[in-house]
Amino acid sequence: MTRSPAGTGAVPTARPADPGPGGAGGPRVVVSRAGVRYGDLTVFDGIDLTIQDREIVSIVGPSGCGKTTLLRSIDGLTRLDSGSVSIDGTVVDGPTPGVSMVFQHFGLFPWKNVYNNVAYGLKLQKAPKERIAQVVPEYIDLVGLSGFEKAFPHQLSGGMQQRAGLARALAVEPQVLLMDEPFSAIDAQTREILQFELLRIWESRPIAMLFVTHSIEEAVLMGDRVVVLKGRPSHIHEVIDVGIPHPRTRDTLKSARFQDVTAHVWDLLMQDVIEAEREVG
Amino acid sequence: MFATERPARWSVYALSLVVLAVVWQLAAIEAGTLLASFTETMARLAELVSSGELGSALWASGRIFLTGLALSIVLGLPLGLVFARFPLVTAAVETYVYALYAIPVITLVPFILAGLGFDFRAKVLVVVLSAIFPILISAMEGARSVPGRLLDVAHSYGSRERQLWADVVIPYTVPYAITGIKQGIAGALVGTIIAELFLNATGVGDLLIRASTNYDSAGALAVTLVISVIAVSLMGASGAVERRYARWREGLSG
Repeated sequence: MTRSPAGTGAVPTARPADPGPGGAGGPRVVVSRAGVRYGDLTVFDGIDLTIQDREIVSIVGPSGCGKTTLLRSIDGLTRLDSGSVSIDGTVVDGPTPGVSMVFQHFGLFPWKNVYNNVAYGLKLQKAPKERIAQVVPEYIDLVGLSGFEKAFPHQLSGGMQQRAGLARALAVEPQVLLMDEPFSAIDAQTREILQFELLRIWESRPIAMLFVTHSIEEAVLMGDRVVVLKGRPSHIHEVIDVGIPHPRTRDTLKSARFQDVTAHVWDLLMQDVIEAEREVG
Repeated sequence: MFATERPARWSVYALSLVVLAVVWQLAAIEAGTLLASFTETMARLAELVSSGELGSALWASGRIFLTGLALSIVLGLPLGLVFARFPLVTAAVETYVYALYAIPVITLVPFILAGLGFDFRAKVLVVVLSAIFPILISAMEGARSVPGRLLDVAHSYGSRERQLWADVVIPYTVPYAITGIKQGIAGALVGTIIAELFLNATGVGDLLIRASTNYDSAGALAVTLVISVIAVSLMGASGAVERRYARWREGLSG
């Protein structure tokens, strides 16, 4: 692969003896018999899922299936009604250091400029000033926002805001990155650029990543495995090994394997729709 | 904004002042002794300034105004935040807050007179009652409307309650608070005049009362004019501060 990554940016933290993306790393996140209810409505139930270090797991499913709720319970924002989530062997009971979330609507603080938004997590951790001054510009550079440090969110496009959101999540150097439909509020062209930039960044410092999306193509492009949620209450219907090596590029989209996996996931999700229509008819 | 808009605005503004002076002058000629003309009023204003009467009146009223406004801000902002933070407190007092806000302060003057007499403290209380509610209510509304997704971000990064207030709730409330303070300034001005007219007469209120009992139409108009100029300048200044802090609000729509 000779394609040079777009943008600039050195890898902020070189990992010693890096076995490379997709290499075995042991379980980071273990979800066990997890269930969430809203009153009488059970959103999902009996979810078992393990995310390895240096692995990207995509979650797709129809809207309302609880993808985001599952992600929030891993981040400790939503309490499970049954089962448990463990990060590195510790049961999650509230937000965990080492787990970062990138939000669908960016969640930037509108009164803070890009620099201070990216520095937010580090400041909360009471990181030393010198470290903040060193790390923040590195991550701003990594996501291609150099020169926009002093810009405020309302002066930036959606794509640039999410770049800042990603830099903020990465600046605390998490072991687990949770992506909650991060590109769904961004126009199609920018979305594609950001997908490949995220892959490039991940390939340069692979960590455990959970990627929630309602786009089947995005799920397959990003994921080493794709988890399909279905049913009411929803449960894991199937886990698909994508089996496409990193680095992934635009050529990946044209590969036969990508097409096959995408078609398979599509069939899984459309079954429901077809069955529902049959029942009505 | 186009570059040409600003000078155009200022010329229209200046023109409107000239028109006002001319209309005033013509109306005064028509009305006879009941209404002092623009030139008579200006002459009387110069007298009031040079005798030092206006200066000392403004100082006396200014003390009441500033003390009352400062107390309203110092009490109103934290109370608004507390009300927003503790829904039970809000449930208990909200109705009374809105009731007091709606009641014209002048109806409370007899009670204040009975309770506190008519000294400086009583006057400051009238100003506080006129100014505190818009400040308190704006701060409360601001702190209540912090978007859940921003609170999620703070929680996700492990923010504790106190940091969350410092990092998210208070900064988010700032533009709301400034809007409230702007309304509070207008309220405090009215409150100061009410206090000085309806408790014992001091400061600018005293000047107004003396002018009207002496049939000094030019004096009354001169004082009213000064109050108007002060009100317009204060509103303009706080409006500018408000616009500066409201700028990031644009980002919330997206």
